[in-house]
Amino acid sequence: MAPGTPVAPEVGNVKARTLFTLVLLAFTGTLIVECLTLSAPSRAAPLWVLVPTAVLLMAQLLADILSRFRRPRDHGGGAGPERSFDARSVGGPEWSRRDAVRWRGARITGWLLLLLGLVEACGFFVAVPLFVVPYLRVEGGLRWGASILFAGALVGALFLVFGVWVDVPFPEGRFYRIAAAVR
Amino acid sequence: MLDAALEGLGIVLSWPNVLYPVVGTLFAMVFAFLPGISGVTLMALAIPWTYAWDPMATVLLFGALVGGSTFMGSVTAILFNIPGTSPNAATMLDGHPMARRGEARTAIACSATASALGSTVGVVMLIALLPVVRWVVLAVGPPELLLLAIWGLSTVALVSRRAVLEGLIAAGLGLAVGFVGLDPRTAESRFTFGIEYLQDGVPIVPVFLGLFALAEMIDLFVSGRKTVSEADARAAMGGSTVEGILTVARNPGLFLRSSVLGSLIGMIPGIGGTVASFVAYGHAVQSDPQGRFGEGDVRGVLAPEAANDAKDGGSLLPVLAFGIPGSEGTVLLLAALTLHGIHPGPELVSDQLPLVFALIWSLFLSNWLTSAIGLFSSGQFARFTLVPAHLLVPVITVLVALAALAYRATFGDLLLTVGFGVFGYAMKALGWPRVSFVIALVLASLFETNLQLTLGLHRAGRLDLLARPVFLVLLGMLVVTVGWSTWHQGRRWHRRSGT
Repeated sequence: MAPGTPVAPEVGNVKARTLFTLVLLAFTGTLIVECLTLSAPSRAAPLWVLVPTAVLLMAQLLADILSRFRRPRDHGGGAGPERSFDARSVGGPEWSRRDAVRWRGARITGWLLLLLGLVEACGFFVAVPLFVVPYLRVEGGLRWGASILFAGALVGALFLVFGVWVDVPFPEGRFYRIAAAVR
Repeated sequence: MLDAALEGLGIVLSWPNVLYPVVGTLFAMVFAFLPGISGVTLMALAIPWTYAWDPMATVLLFGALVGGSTFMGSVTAILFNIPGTSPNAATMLDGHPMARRGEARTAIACSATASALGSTVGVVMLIALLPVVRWVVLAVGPPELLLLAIWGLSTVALVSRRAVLEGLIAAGLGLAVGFVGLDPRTAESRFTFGIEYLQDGVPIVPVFLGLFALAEMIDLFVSGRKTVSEADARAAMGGSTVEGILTVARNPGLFLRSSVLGSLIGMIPGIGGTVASFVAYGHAVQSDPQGRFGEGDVRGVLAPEAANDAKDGGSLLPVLAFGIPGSEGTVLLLAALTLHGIHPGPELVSDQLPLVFALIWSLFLSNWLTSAIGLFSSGQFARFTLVPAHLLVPVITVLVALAALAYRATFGDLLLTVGFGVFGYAMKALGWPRVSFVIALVLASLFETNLQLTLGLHRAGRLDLLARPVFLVLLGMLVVTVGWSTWHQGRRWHRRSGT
């Protein structure tokens, strides 16, 4: 780490790592509990894998927790616990960057959820332009005309190749199924 | 045999027969470049188109389709971290980091060269083993397959050098995910939680798409990078086609071992190219524990690509000799041959050898043609790494969604892809190795099925491991490679700790 770098991002990263390990441990624990409901022949191999994995996860969790109490490295600027405590109020460039990363993470999650919802509701070929146009507009800063043109070309090419030529049976959207049922 | 080989070559190179492998190769390349569809899709489409064709023309076309799609899948794997086919997933592990460093041209050139030469080794082994094919296929049983799976799993700690604990955990989770579905022995549902979608297990294609392709797009968005390549425009066009070609010449041992591995694994029905490429990748890591695998080591492209193409030749052996298909591609090949009155089996190999060699030469020609086109176009392909992120992210995301939906036409696959995309991004951001998870997932079924069969044979008193030469050879290789790489790691640790 370069001299003068605040400690706060490392603490934040440790929090994320700890949370991730906890989630994986919860998942493994769920699988072990599920395993115990199986017959003996079926649960043998999974248990032999899951129990050591759970043990390793607990070791990893311990390592993550202990790393939060590690002595912070000397960053040349006399960084110590006080500096990490003050880092938020300092609002240094590293802290803003982390906020920016979190904000971008939330945005991409939103875009992916939008795509999922549109595909489920409207079907793939309707969902594509409804996803691509706002994305290009918001994230790429393209004009409406350019965004619509780009999305139209993309969905047109995909439809010709996959919908017509290869004839892939894409799942229908929920709206289509409801409309068909009503008819 | 030589007369039949020459006659077959003459058939392939004669006019107008030569058009079939050439046109078939070009179509296979286009299809393989588009994620979600592959040479297998094209083969399925081609069956009805070729109903009225001459049988020889069909043989030549399908030989080219089998071989033509393998290389192009590695181009998308290198450029965008999207494997064109599952076997190309191993190429991504080092190919994409090379592209991000501005060495896409080197990676693609190495892939093209290894593909062409690897397919040559596969074809040579196919021809050499044709007379003894029965012994080869019957000599491989559950104990040998179990050892192969263990060998692949033994590389997990090596590929996750800087995060061994995380790597072992990821491998455990990969195996656990691989156990989802029906128990191979008792047919009991495991870890499905009542969800019908999971009854057939977790499909591997959406996992790959999410864990690597979608995760990379998420990372590209979150990081705020302007392009895939982290190098500037001029550096992104760096790398060298010649350097890529010379990589194969500089690593002859690794290339030959990977090709032989791929060809042998391809001969075993049901194993598939994915296992071949990952086992070869793991072997490459074991052969040099101090290498920078996973960070853009060109040998991490060479090994899986050589194995992947050598596997094509090997996979023809059980198809032609026994009529037993070993993969989706060979199933369709078998269907096409049967529809035209060509019945694979011992009679085909003994009475229609020129036809067999025509198929083999068509495959060979197709592999070299795709590699030649790839070599000449490597620079143009590298330009894709400079496409602006705000255009690339939505397009690739849509293509990933398309590939997930096209796989089995179920919304569940798309959900799975997005779920693994988020999981893959979290692993990447927190320094957990995804490759360990994927190796374990790919090998889980092979490992468990053959473990149960081997234990069953042992309990029934029908297993004499000392009387199985292939088992003993594989065991020796496993002990040598694991021991050697462990010794190397220990030496490295001692050097670091100053003792």
